[in-house]
Amino acid sequence: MNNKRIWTVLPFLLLSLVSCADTDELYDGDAYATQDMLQNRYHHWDDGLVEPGERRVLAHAENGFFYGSGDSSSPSRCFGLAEGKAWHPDFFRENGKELFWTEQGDTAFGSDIAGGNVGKWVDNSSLIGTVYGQTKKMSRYSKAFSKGYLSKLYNGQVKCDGWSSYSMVLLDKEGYGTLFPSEMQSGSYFAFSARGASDTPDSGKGRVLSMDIQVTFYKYAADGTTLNGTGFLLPEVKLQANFSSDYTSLVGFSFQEVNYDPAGTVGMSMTYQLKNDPLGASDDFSDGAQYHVGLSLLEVFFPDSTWN
Amino acid sequence: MNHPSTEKSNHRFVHRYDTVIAFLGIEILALIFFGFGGALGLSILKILGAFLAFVGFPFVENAYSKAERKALLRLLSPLFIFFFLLGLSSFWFSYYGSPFYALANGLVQFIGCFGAFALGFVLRSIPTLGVDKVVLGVQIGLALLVAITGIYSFARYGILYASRFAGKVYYYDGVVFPIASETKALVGFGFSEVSLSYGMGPAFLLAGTGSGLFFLESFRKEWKRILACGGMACLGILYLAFVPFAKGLLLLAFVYIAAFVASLLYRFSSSHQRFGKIFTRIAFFTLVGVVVLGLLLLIIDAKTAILRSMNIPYLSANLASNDGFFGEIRRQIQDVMFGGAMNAELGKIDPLSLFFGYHNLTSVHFSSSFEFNILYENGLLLFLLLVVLLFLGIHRYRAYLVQGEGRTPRAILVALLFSALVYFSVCSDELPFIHESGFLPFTQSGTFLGCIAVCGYCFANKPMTQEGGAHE
Repeated sequence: MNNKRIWTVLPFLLLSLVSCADTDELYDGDAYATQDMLQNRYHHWDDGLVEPGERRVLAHAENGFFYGSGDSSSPSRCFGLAEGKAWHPDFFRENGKELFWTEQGDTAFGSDIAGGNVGKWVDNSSLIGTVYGQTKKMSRYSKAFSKGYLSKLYNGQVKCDGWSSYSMVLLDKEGYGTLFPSEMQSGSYFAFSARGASDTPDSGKGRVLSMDIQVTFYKYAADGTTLNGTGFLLPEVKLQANFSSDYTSLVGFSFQEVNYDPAGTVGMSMTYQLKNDPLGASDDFSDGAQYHVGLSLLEVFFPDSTWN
Repeated sequence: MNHPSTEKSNHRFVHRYDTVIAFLGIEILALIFFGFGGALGLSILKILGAFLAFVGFPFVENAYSKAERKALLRLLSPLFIFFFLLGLSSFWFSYYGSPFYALANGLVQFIGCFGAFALGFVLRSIPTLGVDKVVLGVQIGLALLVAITGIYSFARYGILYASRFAGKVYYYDGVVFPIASETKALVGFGFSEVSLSYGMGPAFLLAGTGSGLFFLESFRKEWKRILACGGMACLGILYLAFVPFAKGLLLLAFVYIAAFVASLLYRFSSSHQRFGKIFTRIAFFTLVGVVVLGLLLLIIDAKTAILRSMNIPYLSANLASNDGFFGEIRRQIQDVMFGGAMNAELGKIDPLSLFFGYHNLTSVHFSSSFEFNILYENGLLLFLLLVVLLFLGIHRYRAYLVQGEGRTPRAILVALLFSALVYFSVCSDELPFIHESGFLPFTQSGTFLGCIAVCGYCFANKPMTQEGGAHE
């Protein structure tokens, strides 16, 4: 390469130094973590993701979807994975060993992350093989899930642990839609850890909410660019709000039971509608109502899945 | 005086193997500063360096008589004791869990440090090896590392990212990280995200070597040296400037100002020798006094937090706060003296921690000062020995700098040591990883080992003849 070509190429080489791959997704320090719940709403949809008009309605049954402990008679009973474990015990094992909601068992206030300061990165590998969240988290299957704002949903932390807004992704009825960093090759079931979030003045006392939650999975059509979604409606999922931010429930369903082949899944979206709230708050954060209810999403699981 | 037959065989060895050993020695020195192969590579380089020093011993025999070698051993014995105890303490026994691993690590640590110092000594004893080549070896090792990490960092973050994205955060594993507080570092054969203090260390050392050029004897005669050494130092300066790493640039300014003032004083005292001697003595003992008073103040602060309560602007609110520079040292002294902050209020001393290093590793506190990290990891005795050795080193290397002609390359090496002392006294980071856990003690790093080798080289300041014989 002669000198002239080198000098021609050099500016482009220098410009490539501003490619800034690690700075593609930056936020202000208090993004989604202000004192105002409405400001903390996450409602980003990646391009091309559109919820389908039709969706399959699942039953709250062993061949449908599970949530929490299965007992939603009071806010203090809305947590954990007992119902899912009762209906699908194999989903909650690793190498033949039973997994638990926390290190102390299927309790609400145990440890689902290793000890450390709130908001600080800590090595959670000691909990793998014991705690469900840390064992089945998405970042174990692909390091690409460790990056970005939505890595909150893939780090195995299934409840608040004092992290407040930093532990969750807060949705309103608009929901969110994301393309995964990889394409799923196989998977056995889908699950997410969630609770209700509300700015009503019953903090500490709490109440049980009923939400219709729609989950949609997306695959590329034959043309390789159009994204087609397959929607699943989970009607009247019972979640607690305002009792305790550590009372989160595992909600999910088996792909086989719902006749969905997860191979080729490249994205998902989630929206909800509030079906019943004893205090009558709104699920639309932009409607100007006095009180609101959001879906606080802590974790998303595609356990035992493979990705490329 | 050696036996005539020993002298003859040493002469033959020197003339036959001087080039090979010089080349290998500089290669090892460059690779140490480059950090080749990470922890495993460094362990291999420690052993290779010690082996080469052993093989090159005839050069030392050739340069020093038996009596001189004995005197040197006596003089260096405190340093060797320091090396020996560096890896053996209650901290390290607690850290490794097993006495076997602790002893094995301590042995490797001793071999590495002793071997590096000895290697530098041997290289200095090779008559045909000019100091310029040693300087180049050190700078090339640092420059390669800085170039590789700099290009990769700027490709991932962009130019001036620390100021362009100040206050911005990104998410990794669901945790918030400020983008302006990190950089990339070559660790082993891959890149990791590390703190700015840790990642910018090599660039700072490289940039600091440029301050040695203030001792130029002749701009016209040394223009090649200026281009080569100055050019590589500029690489370090540019990396610091294009991040930008403000703390590093401030410290670098201090290094350059200190070097400039030192060069002016040297030139003045060359023609006013009496003044020079008196000034040097006053300056040295003033520094000793300041350090002693400073240490006493820090010990009082560990018991009473006096620095925090003095309401001195910036010092009390920032530097002396719990997370500030002096606050970190306060917690370390509390741990070492009393076994923790709570015990500090009771005033009960923990003798094991105090003399042999902190041993209750359920909660550890490292600071940004390598000296106090040595206090934490090795106890008061080794810390005091370190302080004494540092002062002896300042005295010795000042003399090395000003001896005779050809001082510019010597000044560059001394500038490297001074830069390392300044930087790692305030910017050391032994838990540097952002996205993973990992403990990298400074005393087990390539930078420390490389500086020890340079110390060995500069220590052996006996003038050599071209024929390979020592001056008697």
